[in-house]
Amino acid sequence: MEKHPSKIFIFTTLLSSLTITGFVFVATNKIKNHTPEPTSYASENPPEEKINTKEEILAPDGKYTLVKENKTKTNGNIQQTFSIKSQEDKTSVEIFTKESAKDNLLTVPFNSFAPTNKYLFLEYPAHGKLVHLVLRTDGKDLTKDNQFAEIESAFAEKYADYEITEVTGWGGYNLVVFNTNSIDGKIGPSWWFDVTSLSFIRLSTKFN
Amino acid sequence: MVTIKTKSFLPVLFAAILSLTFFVFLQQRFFKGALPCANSLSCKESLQLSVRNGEKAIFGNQEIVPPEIDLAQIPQEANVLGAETATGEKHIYIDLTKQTLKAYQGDSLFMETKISSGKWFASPTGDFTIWAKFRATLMSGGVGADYYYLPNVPYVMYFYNSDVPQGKGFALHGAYWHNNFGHAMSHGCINMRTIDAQKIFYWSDPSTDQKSSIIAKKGEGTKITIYGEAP
Repeated sequence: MEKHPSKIFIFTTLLSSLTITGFVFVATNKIKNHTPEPTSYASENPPEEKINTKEEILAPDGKYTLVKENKTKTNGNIQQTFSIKSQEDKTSVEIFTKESAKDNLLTVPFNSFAPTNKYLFLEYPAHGKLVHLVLRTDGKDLTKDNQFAEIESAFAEKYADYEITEVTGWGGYNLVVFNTNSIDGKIGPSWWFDVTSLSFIRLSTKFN
Repeated sequence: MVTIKTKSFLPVLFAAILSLTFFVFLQQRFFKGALPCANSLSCKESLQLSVRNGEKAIFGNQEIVPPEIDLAQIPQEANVLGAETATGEKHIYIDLTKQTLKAYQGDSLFMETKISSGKWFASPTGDFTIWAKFRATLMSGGVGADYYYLPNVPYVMYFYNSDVPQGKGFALHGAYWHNNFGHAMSHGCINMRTIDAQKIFYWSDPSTDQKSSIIAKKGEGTKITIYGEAP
């Protein structure tokens, strides 16, 4: 009668130990399975950049749309991408990309498109003035060597006595109209920038 | 001798003063009628529907290709804009100083955009009424370097008042030959971007009812007020 309870006690203890061991084993495995993989901050692929803004600007004849997308980069700069979408066949061509600081972002002026939609100009502020870039809308380079022409620097190289005060729009198929002042502050003439020859034509008529 | 000379001089002087007074009177009386036609070489021809696909245009000494016009193609705007929800009188205000256009129905702003008014000849100021609308027409005028020949001028809305008769051909219309809106560029008409002119064309009265041309009945046309002075 005395040995029987001991056997029962040993059996119960053994069973309990096995149960506890089994429970601990299962629980440990479960915890292991639910432990997230440590994040690699030195990942080869940077996190996806978020599209901050997307703007669509219709050409004056409604045949094309200029799409401007701004993406914030991890360094705080903005990557700006410009594409042209045809309303007729819905095709889209990327024409220009530029990374800029927030204070130097490209904008699309009201008169951006050339009347033929073959060219357009964009502007951005730099050192308290506006800089204007002329591009082709088919994505090809404007000249043999350059994707675009910068009106201000090209003009300053040839006509140091004047400075551009305002780029207003297109006076013809390939003629950008702009106004100038002389360096001493007097009102200067209006000019055409001929995009096809990259030359400047001084006008007798002032386009205020 | 001196007396005789003075005596003969007086009637001549009197006649000269009378002639001058009469001339000034005529100028004052008929000056308004002497307002030059907006399109000097196509004064009458411009006042009708005209589609000239395939013809070249000339502006600023440049040869340009006008947009092809298909009268059978009625844009979506023709249907949508006829069913606007705003109520009240339609009125278009054009500020020549700022080179802007605002179109209202009642208190509701329908459109605000930039325009180009007269550069070589001034756009008239005052209160006007639209009397005819044409989907396209030919406009031609100027001389020398200023010569222009523009077929297929799109979305033309002619306006008039008692000082500016219908035959003078002043209009709001689309312009495909330049993109310098916000700055005076025209020979007296009010140039707009084609997309803006299209919207105003289908919004304004008389309603085209999807036709390519319409002549307004008396009192039917949308009112236009042009004010200010082009820079």
